[in-house]
Amino acid sequence: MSKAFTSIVRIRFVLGFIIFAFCVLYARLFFLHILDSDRLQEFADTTRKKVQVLTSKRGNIYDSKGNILAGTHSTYVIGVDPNFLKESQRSRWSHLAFILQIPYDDLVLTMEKKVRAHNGRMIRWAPLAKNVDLGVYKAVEQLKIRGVYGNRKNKRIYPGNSLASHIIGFVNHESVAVSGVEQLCDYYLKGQDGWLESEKDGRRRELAHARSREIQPVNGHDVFLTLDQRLQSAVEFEIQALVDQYNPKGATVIISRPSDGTILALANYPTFDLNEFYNTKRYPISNQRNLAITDMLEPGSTFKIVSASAVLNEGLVQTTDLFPTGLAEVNYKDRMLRLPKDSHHYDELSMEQIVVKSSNRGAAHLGLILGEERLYSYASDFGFGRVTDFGFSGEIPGTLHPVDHWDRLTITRMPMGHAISATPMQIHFAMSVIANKGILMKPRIIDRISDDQGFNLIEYQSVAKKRVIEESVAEQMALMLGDVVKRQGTARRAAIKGYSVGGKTGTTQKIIKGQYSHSKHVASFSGFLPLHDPEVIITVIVDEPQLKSRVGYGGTVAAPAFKNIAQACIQYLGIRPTEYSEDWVASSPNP
Amino acid sequence: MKRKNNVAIFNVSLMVFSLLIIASVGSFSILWLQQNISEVAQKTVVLEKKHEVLLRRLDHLNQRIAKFHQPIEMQSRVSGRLIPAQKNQIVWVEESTLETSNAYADTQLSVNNYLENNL
Repeated sequence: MSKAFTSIVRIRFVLGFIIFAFCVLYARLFFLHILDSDRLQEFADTTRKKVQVLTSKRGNIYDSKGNILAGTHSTYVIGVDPNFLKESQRSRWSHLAFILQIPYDDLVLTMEKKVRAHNGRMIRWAPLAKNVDLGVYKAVEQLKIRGVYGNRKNKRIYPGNSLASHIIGFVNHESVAVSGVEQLCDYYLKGQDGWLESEKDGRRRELAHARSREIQPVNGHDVFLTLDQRLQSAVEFEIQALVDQYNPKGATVIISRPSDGTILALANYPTFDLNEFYNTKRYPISNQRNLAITDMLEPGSTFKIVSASAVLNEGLVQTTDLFPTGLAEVNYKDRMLRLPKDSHHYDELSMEQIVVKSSNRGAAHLGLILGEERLYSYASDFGFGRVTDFGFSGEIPGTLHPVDHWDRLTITRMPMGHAISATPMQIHFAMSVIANKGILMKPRIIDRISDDQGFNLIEYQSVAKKRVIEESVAEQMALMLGDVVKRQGTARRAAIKGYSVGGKTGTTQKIIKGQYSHSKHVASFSGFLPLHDPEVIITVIVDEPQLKSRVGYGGTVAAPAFKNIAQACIQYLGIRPTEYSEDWVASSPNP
Repeated sequence: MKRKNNVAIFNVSLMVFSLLIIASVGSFSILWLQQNISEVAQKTVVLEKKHEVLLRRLDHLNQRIAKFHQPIEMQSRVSGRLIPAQKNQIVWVEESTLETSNAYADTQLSVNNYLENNL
């Protein structure tokens, strides 16, 4: 090769150009890999990496028999990308409208609107139907309309709608447990979300082999309540009957087993549909209050069991001791006290008759014998003035003023259930002291918590809070309460043939503008059966029953409801009769 | 000397060749393994999705069962066709006679007598 044809300048120019080009390249690489690497790395990661949250399934809530009261299932929002539709598939639109149960014209309007009116941008998603269940979603899928697809989301479902709504509570759209067991047991129910880190290809499909981290979700535990769906339904049916008949402002019914404080049913009126908790037009927000624990009322005559039990337990009075209930005033601690009136005039009543006839004046005498300190102490021991430890948020302790806050009439008014306020739950559990041989129990609503394999993790045992009165006194009281339901008592309408029933009525005048109203009452009845070995205790409280020209007494409004519910309990729980009559008992075998 | 060189060259060539073989076979093996891993991973994803769908169907069925088992729902299905037992249809046996275990037989006897006398 001859050197005559080579130009040193040209070679140097070319070499220089190549070196310069490489320098530029290296500089660019330096910029990309060193100076701007963090940003680009992040960009690459977000483009390539896929982090998927694996949502945990919230646990179910069951009744004591294993019926689902609250569960989670998937619903779908069916939507359309109008710009992805095929005109050739237009004939299937009518089928889609039929399946989704939406007007065809509305569907066509949504499908044909391809751009947004306000900014002219393309519409890539327009919802057609919400809360679509799996069956409907499958049917939509089978139509195979391009551009129509569904987004899945978990939804809390309450199959009973309003059944036991105040007990179950609900989870709102932000997945926050708001009330009831949902809130109380949220820690156990909610579970823990997992997550998955992997990579995706250009078409956004997961590259499964590139999974780098995978944390499996932990599903929530299941909560079993002590409630019984059948009894709960019977109670709600009876409340509805009360509403139809008396149109009350409110009503509460509680059924429990006295021996262990187990709540078998609890219902309030007004109520609400758990699946439509957001519909405040149909179900005002006030309907969500669990009246059994959030509202208080003067217990009225049902409180007389406290003063009567107290004097017997202290050994101050015998059941046959007579009291001058004809007197309007008595001398107490060197001052004359005016006694409350009775609906009927009685010259004198025995202690037993005071309970059976529900004499206010007689109860006042019992209070005077007992004295302030002991009356306060027994009221407190029976559970008044303190929360029942039911566990739900919003429970109030009621009002039981300390003795130094009492006025001079309180000692005559409190024994008949005035000057004290209590929740229906407190009244119920005060009565259960009598039914449970003198022991106050803690209400028990959660039976157990188990994992999704069915293994029990926590079992909630019954808790006895305190012995309030002697067993013999409780038995004496039960006998007296049995007489209340007999012919001479105030709750004749609660009697059930073949069964010994005990209970106490209450008719409380409501305080309106600081005065006792003569037209607005709270009718109540709390009773149990069978008398000697109670299996259920039932409390019925009806707030402001509307009766034509009559007072809504506990004996006329609440006692019949008690009877109906008790009969349902007898039938369902198989409670045996205590009093057999010849005509309906199988003949005894000959000896 | 020349023979020693040839042996050395052979040994080096053999080593290089072996390295190349091992490297290429290893590479292909890794590739094959990765392909298999990818395939299994894809199948796992498919199974996971199927499992998820089945769980969702199960939830859906549970929810439907729960709905149909509502007392009000069941009551509406037998409304007019099923009534609670009448009082005269319930036979109670005194608890004191339960221990002798023949009260029920006695009841049956009286039912038979009733049937014989009335049919």
